[in-house]
Amino acid sequence: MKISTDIGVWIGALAALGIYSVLIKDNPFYRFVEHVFVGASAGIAVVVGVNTFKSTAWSPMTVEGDYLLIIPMIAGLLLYTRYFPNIAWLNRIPLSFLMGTSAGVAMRGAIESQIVGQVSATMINLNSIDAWIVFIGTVTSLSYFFLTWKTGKVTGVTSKLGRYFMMAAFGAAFGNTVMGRVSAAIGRFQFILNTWLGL
Amino acid sequence: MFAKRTLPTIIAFICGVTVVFAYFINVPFIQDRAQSILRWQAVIAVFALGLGAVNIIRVHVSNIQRSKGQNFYSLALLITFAITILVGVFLGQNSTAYKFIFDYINVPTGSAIFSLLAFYIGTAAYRAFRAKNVEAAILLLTGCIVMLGRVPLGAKILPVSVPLTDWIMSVLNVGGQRGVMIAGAIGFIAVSLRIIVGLERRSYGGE
Amino acid sequence: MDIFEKLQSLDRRLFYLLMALAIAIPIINPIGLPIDITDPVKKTYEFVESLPNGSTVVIGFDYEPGDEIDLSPIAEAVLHQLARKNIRVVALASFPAGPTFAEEALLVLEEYGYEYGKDYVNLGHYAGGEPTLAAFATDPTSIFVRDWFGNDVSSMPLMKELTSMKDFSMAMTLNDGPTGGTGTHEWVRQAVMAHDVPLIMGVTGVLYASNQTYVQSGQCKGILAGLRAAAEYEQLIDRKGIGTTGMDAQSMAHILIVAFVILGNIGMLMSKKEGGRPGPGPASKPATPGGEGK
Repeated sequence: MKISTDIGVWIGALAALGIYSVLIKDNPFYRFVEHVFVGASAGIAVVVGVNTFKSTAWSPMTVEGDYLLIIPMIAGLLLYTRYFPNIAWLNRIPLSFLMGTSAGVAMRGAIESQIVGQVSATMINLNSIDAWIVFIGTVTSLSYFFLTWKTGKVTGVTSKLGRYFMMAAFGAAFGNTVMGRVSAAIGRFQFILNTWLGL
Repeated sequence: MFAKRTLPTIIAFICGVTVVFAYFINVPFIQDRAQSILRWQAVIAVFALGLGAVNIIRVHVSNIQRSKGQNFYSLALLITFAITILVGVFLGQNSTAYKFIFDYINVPTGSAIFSLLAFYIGTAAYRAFRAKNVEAAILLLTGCIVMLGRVPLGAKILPVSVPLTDWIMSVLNVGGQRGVMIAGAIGFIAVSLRIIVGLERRSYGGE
Repeated sequence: MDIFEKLQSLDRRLFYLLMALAIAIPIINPIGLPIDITDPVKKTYEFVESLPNGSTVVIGFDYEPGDEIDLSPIAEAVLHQLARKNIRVVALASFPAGPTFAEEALLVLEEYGYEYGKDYVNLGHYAGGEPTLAAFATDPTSIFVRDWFGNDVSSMPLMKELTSMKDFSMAMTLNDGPTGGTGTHEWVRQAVMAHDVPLIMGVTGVLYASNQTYVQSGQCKGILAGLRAAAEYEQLIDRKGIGTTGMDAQSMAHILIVAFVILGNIGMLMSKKEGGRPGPGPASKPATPGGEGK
């Protein structure tokens, strides 16, 4: 056992222990570490934001002479009018720009990737039992979402089957989620036990 | 009224339609306009990053002013926030001090917070995960098989869990998830269309 | 009060302690259980292996500190393989923490004599998520004029060769979800559908199940999920890392949770048999949109 003498390691380990202390009971140490984390995360977002602003907006305008970028910069500043009730409506202008663009970009790709791509992968090559199971799972789980106006005998069965498929999928997602969260704990425990305490 | 209601709708419509057209129609003029729109939104989005910071400052300054017993924590938050910004902006994001904050405060704490769920799942597994009906039984069974099949010891205890996990992930899971994905995409496209044609003005603050 | 009811009323902190021990003991005393290579990891490895030597790939570091342990080991393992094939790397990030994770992972390349600007670049962070990725895919230098270190991107030999996403032999996203950044759906739309560039994903366990659909449809060429995938990949590239050492603890924690589930359900069954309390809360009827009972 050789305890680390690195001050950073000590701070990192104590921060993790501070968070884990909530498992025993909510306490001031936990709240302190939690608030410090939020402060550091928000600070990092601002620092990176400043850097991104330089790279995406300021340098192209000042170095490359793309002066039209002043328009989105002003639009970006309008986002902050939300804090002034008299002119808060002005933030609708940049928001509508962001929402319209995002909706257009996402929509054009979603049709291909999430509908056409998925439907064709389900329908083509139905040459194995597994492929048929995937097909039945897709159709029945879709029927669960769409055949909702009137439930007859057939649609009731398909809807129920769809629900079973979705539960299997959620079970699989649950198993993998557990794995992810345990991994995070392993990372911290390795840091505390190996890096900090030298066990 | 025009500036408050109609102008945002027109902006959303022009932006949305241009980027959609540019994807399907190979006309240089439209493609260039679409690229400009995408670049401009990247610039506007940078400013949006600061909104979170402003909100945090407002909430915690107000906490300190009202001194509801939270002021010490809020003060700690604001001090950390200020120090991180000063270090990052003036010393640079590649400085030792910035890396110190990132590696020894942000990463360990963030990771520990996320990992709390591993502990909560443990108790939830014992107290709440009950096979009370067929759906819950399927969820639990697939969940447990996947948990076993994904780790070496699970594969030793129940060797069949490994091929079963592969089968669940690539067949049962795909069947269920694909239905969810397609249904979600249809809803998503419908909402996107409504935003573009101005039927979903609430998404950008309209009424 | 039977034994199962007594167990029901146990202090939750006892479960936390058991979980902590299940994770800590194997870390202090590793068992060294063998890790089998699964199909998804093998296929991903083989796909990366099939890339032309000397080509260029783009990697998105789209994750936050909470998921660092799941995704950074994957990044490093894949970077080792890319470096052995002299493949050049362009890194970018949609989350504020991403550029620093990229910077730390890209150090792997320096072991192989990679030169910054010529063989690899860390472009840094971009705001705006998918639309910005779309702009990058059409013209990489239109979004990044300066890299993460403040260098002029247009003067870098590697960036001079890039005109669009099509110039990459592969795209990879290390992803923990779309909230606040660019998700896996967005990468499929912008890299695969819009530019026909093959995509592989390194994802957290949470995202693994939902993204299997893309693997099955062929829209994603490979998927690596969490620490387990990193452990397998480390075996394939013959370099033991954090993924391998964590697998014993992962095993113990999983077994413990499965044991809890089984015990809890046995308790419920026993209580039912004895006509006792069937566990907390009544059996819930699943919600149905439109309603089956109509």
